[in-house]
Amino acid sequence: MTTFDVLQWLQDSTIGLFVRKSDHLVGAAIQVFHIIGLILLLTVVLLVTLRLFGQGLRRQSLRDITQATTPIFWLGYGFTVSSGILMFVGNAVIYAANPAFQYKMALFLVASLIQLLLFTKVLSTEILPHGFIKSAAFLSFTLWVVVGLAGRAIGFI
Amino acid sequence: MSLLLDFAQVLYDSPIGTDIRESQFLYPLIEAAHLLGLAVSSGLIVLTDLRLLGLFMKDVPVADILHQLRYWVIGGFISTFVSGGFLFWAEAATIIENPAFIVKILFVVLGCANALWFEFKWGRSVTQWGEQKALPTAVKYAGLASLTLWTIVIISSRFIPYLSQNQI
Repeated sequence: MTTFDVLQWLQDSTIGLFVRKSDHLVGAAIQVFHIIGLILLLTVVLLVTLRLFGQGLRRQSLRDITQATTPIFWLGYGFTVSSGILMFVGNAVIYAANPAFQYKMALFLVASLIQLLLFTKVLSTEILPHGFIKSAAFLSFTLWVVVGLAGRAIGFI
Repeated sequence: MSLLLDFAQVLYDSPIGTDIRESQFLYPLIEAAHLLGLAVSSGLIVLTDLRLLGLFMKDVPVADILHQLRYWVIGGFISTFVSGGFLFWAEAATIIENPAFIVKILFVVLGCANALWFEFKWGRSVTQWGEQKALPTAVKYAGLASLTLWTIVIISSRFIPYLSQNQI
């Protein structure tokens, strides 16, 4: 079975057909979840990054901020990923062939990994040098923004 | 109304409007600035609203959240507003008759009105009520209203291309 067969099978599955054949307003509704999820996720990363640079909620500790925002991050992440999967399954063959989509997925994986390794574990324990964490947080914020831009570019390419 | 339509047509036909519309990179880039501004302003507004509703950083005084995030929220809002203005400039003649866009603008106005009302009625005196365990009911309603209004703004925005006469 080739990759193409898998993609074809995905988009001809019940869910794939449902997404593709339904009204374009269903597509819009899925996009709404995608964008609201992205906003929540970006805001959390922004708030944490700002705090690392001594901006934003600077009177609160880094630990308090990460603790309060982590559930919101994963809520946003859940929104974007689940709506993203729905969109992908609906048109798997076309998406997989789109260069912007391929870049987006690669960057998304890197950003997710950084998030998982850095924000959940390292940030709260502060065992790494501050400068390193600062640059990593800045990189992470930039990555998520670029993931969003690459996502927007899918429609233009 | 026709005056408004005429004005939209003038914007649409102007060199700047035409340039943005026909440029391969300008339009997506302005959209990107719009999204980034949104993540800063709307995102931080959502967090502030959640604080007013007692669902986020409950132990932090409301004044701390309002004051420390103020300039970021305003900066993000300006970025969203200005980039949105340019997007409108490029699409004015068609978008002005788009039902999703009309709903969006209506709710932007309501969202701003709610924010201004909150600022003058409550924001100025936040140090007097912001540290109580239970916040005044009106404050919670303002938070809920803000959350609802801005969510509707985002939803209606995403529907703009889907309800457009000529698909963007």
